[in-house]
Amino acid sequence: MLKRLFQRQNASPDQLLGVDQARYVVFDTELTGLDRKQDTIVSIGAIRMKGRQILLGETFYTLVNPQRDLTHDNVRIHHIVPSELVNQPLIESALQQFLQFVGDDILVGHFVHIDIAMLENALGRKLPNRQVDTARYYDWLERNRRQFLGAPNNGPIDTVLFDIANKLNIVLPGAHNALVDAYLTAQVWQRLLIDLPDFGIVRIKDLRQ
Amino acid sequence: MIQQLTSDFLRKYSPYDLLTEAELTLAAQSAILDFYPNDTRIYTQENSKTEYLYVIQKGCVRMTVQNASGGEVMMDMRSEGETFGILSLLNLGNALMTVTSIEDTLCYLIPKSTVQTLLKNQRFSEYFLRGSTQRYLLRTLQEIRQQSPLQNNSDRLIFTTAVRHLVKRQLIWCPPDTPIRQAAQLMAQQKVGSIIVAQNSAPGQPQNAGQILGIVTNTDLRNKVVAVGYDATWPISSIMSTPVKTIDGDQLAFEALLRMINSSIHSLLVVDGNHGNDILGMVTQHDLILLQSNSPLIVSKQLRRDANVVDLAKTLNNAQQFIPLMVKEGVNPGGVGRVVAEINDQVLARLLNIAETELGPPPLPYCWVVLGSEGRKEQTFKTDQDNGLIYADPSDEAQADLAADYFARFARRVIDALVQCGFPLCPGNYMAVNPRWCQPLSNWMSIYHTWINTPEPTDVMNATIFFDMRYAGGDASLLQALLADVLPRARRSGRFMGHLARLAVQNTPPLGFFRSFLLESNGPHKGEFDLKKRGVMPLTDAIRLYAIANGIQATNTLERLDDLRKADVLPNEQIDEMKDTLEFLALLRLKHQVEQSTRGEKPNNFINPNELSSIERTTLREAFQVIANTQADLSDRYRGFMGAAI
Repeated sequence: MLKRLFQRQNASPDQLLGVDQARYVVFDTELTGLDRKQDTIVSIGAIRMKGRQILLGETFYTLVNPQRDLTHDNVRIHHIVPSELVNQPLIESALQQFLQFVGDDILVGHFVHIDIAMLENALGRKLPNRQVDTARYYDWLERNRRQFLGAPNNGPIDTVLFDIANKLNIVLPGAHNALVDAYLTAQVWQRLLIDLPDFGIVRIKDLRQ
Repeated sequence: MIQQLTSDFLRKYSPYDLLTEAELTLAAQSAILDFYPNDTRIYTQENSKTEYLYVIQKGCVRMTVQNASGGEVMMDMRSEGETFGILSLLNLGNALMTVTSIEDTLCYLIPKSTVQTLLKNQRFSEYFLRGSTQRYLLRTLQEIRQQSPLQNNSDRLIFTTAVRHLVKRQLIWCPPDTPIRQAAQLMAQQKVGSIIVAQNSAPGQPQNAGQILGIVTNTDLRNKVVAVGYDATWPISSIMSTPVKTIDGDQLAFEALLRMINSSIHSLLVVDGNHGNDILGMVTQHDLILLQSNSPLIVSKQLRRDANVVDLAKTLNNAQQFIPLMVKEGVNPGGVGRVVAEINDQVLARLLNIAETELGPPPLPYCWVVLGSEGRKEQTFKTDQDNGLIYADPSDEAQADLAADYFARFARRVIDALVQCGFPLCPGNYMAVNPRWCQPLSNWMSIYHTWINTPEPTDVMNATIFFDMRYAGGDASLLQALLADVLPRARRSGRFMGHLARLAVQNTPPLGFFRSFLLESNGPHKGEFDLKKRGVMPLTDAIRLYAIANGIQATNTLERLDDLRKADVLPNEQIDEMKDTLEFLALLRLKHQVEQSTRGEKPNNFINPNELSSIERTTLREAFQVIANTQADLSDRYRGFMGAAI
C-alpha cells in the first residue's frame, strides 16, 4: 500500500502545476466485451494534450491481436474483422508501446475506469499515472451549473460521449475507432478545462482520482 | 487518422490548397487544436508574442488595432477556413493586432517553425505576401497609425531590401586569445551587443568568412561569465558560440529575419556569396526593425546633404537600385510610386536650389510642376521627364522679357541636371525648356481655356497629361490659382467632359463572353493583352474624369479616390472596387516588368494570362469586370455629351 502510494506520488507531475499547463494523454480502448475476466483489448488510441491544446501530431494507435475469436456483436461495433488482427502485436508489446507514449502524463478517458481496469488487468499491476474521467467531470460540472448557476434542469444528465460532443458542437468524424474516440474525448476535455477553474479545480492536485 | 482529418480540413481552403501532400502532412503533424470560448483574447497588439499561424476550424474572430488615441479600430473579421496571425509572425512574433473570439472558436495552430518551411512554397508565400495581407498593412499603417505615406510603405521594405543594403555596422572583432574582460570592454566602448572572434593571421580586420571562428554576445557574457563564473582573464574563445551563422548579401531582409527567428539569434554575418564569402558586415534584428520604419528617410537625409548634381545623381541611383526590388515581392505599387515621387521631388528641390544659386534669384515667383504619370505619382522605373514652369504675371514689357530670358535659362539648367540624374528627355517635348510650357500664369490659363472650350483631338490628349499637373517646387500658390480657374470651367463644359468620357471608355477591358480573356490574335504580342492600355489607363482616365467633375484637385489616382469618397459622390462600394482593382493591376504590371528586367528584357505591358497563377487569373477577371462596370457608368452619365464626337 505504502509502496503504491509512494510510486503514485513519484510518477505524478508537479502537483501545483495549473490544470491548463499539465500534459495529458487522452485515450480510448476497444474491447471484445465488458467482462474483465474474459474479455480483452482489441485496439488502443491516444492523443496528447498540453493544457487545452490538442497536439494533433502526437497520436498513438495500435490494434491488438486478442488471440481469440471475436463475437459477431463486437465486429459490428468496431468494424474490426478477425483477419485484421492476426498479424497485429500481442497485448504485451502493444501495452509496452502505449506506456512509453504515455510517460508521466495524466491519463484522461471517458468512463476511464473501464479502460484502466482492462489495461491494469492485462499488465498485472496498477498504473501510477493520475487519472481523469471526462464523463464524471462533465456530470459534476453540469450538476454544479444546475445547482449554482441556474442552468436549466432538463432531466437526467446524459453522459454518452457522442451526445456530449453533439451538445458542445464538436464535429463528429465519420469513422469510429479508438483513436477517433480519443480525439473526441480530448475535445470534450478541452472544453471542460475552461470551466473547471470556476469550480475550484485549478491545479493538478485538485483533480480527484 | 487524426492527421488525415486535419489535412482534409486544411486542403479545403486557400492557400493550403496550394501545398503539396508532403507539406500538408507536415502542417497536420505539427498542428495543435485549441479552443477559445466566446470573447477570449487570443493575442494582444504589441503585448503578445505569437508563435503560431491560426486557421479557424469553427467560429469567428474580430481583429482590431489600437489607434493613436487608444481606441480600438476594427480591421476585419475572420471565420471558418480563414487564417490570421501571419503578419504578426513575420513581425518577429510581435502581435500587430488584437484578436478576440466573438463566438466559441476552434483553431488549428500551425507552429512558427512549420510556417517557415511552408513559406518556402512560393505560391503559398505569395498568397500571404501579396494578397489580403498587403491591403491590411496599408490600412493599418495609413488609417490607424496616421503617419506619412513615406513611412508607411517602408514597412514593406522587409520583403524587398537585400541584406547587403542594411549592412552599415563596422565589424567589431578580436583575436581568440583576447581575455574575456578586454573583449567586453571593447563591446562596451563600441556600444555593440556582440563581438566577432577571428583568426589574427592577416593585418587589419578579417576579410573573409573563413577567418571567423565564433561570436560572443552580451547573453554569452551574462550566462557564462557572470552566472556560471568563468574567469574574466580566460580567452574569449572559451565562451564563444560557433560557427557564426551567415547570410548571403543578396538575400532579402525577410530571409534574414526568418533565419534569426529560426535559430533564435540576434545577428547574422553578411557575406558576399559571389566573391568567395567576403565579409560585408553584420546585420542585427535591430537593423531589421529599423528598416521597417526608417529606411527611405535615410535616403532623403543623404539627399539633403548632397551639395552638387554629381552627388545627387549618385544618391538617387543608389536609392533607385533598391526601389525596383521593393516591387519584387509584395510591396504595394501605389506605395512604391509615392516613395519614388517623394525622393524625386527632393532631388528636384535640390536642383532648383542649385540652379537659383548659379543664376541668381528669379525675377518673379515661379512654380515647377510635373505632369502625367509623374504628376499622378505613379512612376516606378525612371521614365521620361514631363514638366512645366508657371511664373507670376510680369507687370510690364521689360519685366516680361527679363523673366522669359531668365526662366528659359533656368529651365535649361534644371532639365540638363535631371538628365544627368538619369531622367531622359521627353520625346513629346512636354518640358519646361519648351517655351510653350514655360509661361506666365495668365498664358497658362488661356491654354487651358482653349482646350476646354474648343477641344481638338490632341487637346484631349494634352488634357489627360495637364490635368494630372502636380506641384513639385517653388511657389505653390501659382498652381493653386491656375487650378482654381480651370477646374470649375472644365466641369461646367459638357463638351469637354464628354470628350474625356469618350476617351475613358474607348479602350475596353479584354474580357470576352463567359469571362474568357480576349487576347491579341496576331502580331508580336499574340496570345497576350496590353495591361496598361486595356486596364490601367481606362480606369485612371475614368477616375480623373470623376475627379474633375467633382472639382477635386488631387492628381494621384488613389488620392483622387479618397477625395471622391470624402465628397460622397459615388457609392462607397464602387470606390472600394476601383481602389482594389487599381492596386491589383498596378501590382501585376510591376511584377511583370520586374520579371522582364531581371531577365534582361525591356519592360513592357503585355501579359500572357497563362503565366499567371490561378488566383491572379481569377482576380484579374474580377478587376476587368470592375472596369467594364465603371465604363458603363460613365457612358450613362455622359451619354448626352459623348455624341459630340471629335
